[in-house]
Amino acid sequence: MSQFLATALVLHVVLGLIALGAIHLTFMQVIRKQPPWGIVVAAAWTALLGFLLSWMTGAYYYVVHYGVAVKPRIVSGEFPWAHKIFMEAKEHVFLLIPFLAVVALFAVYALREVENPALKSAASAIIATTLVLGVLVAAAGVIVSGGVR
Amino acid sequence: MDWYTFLIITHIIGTVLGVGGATFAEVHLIRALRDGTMSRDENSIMQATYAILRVGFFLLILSGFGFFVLARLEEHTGLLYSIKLWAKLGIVGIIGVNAVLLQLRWIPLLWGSAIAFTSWYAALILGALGRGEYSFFWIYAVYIAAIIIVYFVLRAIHARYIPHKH
Repeated sequence: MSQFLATALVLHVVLGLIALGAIHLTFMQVIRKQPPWGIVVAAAWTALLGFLLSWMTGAYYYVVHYGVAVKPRIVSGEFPWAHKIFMEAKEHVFLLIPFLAVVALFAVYALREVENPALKSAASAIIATTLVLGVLVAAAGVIVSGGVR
Repeated sequence: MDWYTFLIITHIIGTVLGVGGATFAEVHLIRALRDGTMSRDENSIMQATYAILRVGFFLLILSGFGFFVLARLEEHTGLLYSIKLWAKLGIVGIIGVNAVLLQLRWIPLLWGSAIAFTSWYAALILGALGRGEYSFFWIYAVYIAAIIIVYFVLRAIHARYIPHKH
């Protein structure tokens, strides 16, 4: 693997984790009685940018290297389900996450302007969904890495 | 400094902040509630402690995934088949879920505290244990037993030092 691809893989993981940390922080602050909106907005922006950049670097690694060099090794190895189930699920679920992060950011801006319990519940649900899907995608990444033997 | 050493140092700092934060969160909580109410100053100390805990948690996860990436890049994926590692990952996941449940007040404070406190020490101990044969069942059996014991100890401490509201 070239240095550039290795960097793309590292950035994919690190940026994804930063985004997960930021969306976790967004959720923990939004559900408070009086959320600190400055922190919430900054965290929601960090999450969105992190997910987008992780998406792009991951996509580059996937298209240029994974499909050609890693996938055949997993599929012909001991744990073909690591690709057939987990990577297939991961690559499709991950498509949703940046869009959820955009919705979460808009909801946070709206909540900052208007106090609305129904919107707060809906925004919390969207943010929690983004967090849970992000954690599942990260866990799937570990399983896929373990599938290469 | 090579990447492995950097990750080890970051992982240790994250664990130290997390274990220290979890310990001081309990100490500060009991001290703050001794007079039955939490003042603004006491609340700000609690918030600072929780902020340190979050930083520790984030460093722990970031460095933990750093080990995965390093293993993947160096083709040492044998690391990913360790029972101890998956048990630790599960416990780190429980720390995150427990923090959310506590914030939502969907779990009693004492149970949440017992889970957080025990989980951080469990992560520390699992990280410090050397290579060897470990059973997933026994790790979790001891972990659950430790949570129950810590719960009753915390309950006794709260009953002794914190006045009850009638």
